[in-house]
Amino acid sequence: MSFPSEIIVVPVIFIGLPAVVLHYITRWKTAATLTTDDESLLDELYQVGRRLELRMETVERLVAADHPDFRDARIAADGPAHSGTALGGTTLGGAYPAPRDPYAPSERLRP
Amino acid sequence: MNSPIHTRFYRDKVNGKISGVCAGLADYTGIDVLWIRLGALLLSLHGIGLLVYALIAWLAPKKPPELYASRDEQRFWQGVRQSPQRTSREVRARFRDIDRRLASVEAYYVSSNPRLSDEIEALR
Repeated sequence: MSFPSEIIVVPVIFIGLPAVVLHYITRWKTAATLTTDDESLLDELYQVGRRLELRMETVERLVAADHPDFRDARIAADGPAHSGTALGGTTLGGAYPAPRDPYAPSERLRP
Repeated sequence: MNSPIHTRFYRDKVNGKISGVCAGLADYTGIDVLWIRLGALLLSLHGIGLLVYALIAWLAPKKPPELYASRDEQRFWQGVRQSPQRTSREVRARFRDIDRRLASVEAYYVSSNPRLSDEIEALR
């Protein structure tokens, strides 16, 4: 067969290959996961969520201190395994005050 | 840019042995630094490791000292670098959890009216 193979090989190497590489480079660049804005947004959401969770715990503790039956209602609703959180961010601990001593936790919460 | 970028690779000179590339990789991925050092040693035996190590040590910026405020935050950003989708789902789950707990406090106050029962208790 007198068909010259260069006609196929040369365009494949010098046009096809760079095209494939560039195609995947652009795909990779557009699929880049987080921009700087996304990152700062995520950072802010994380911080806000952490603070809200701490405040929520404070409120729950205050309510449970004033009304001992509140905690009981929650235990009945969703079981005792609740002190853990999705991101493991509890720093105040999951222990609720004993019903006998209603104003003990307020001592800790005072700044 | 005043706050440091959390999704970038830094070499951790403070916790590192030579110039902190392995410690930086451990910090970036969340894998224990021992395994990364062992892997780097194995690669060095092949000969590529040293070149790669020198190249990374030369190219990568040093880790800013105030990158993470706590161990918890470090773990959070390791999760972000592994999978931003999963981390955002976790953040959403946390907000939903707070919402649910707040709703239960609200429901408690609305349904049982503890203040009224307190007043009755005081009058007794």
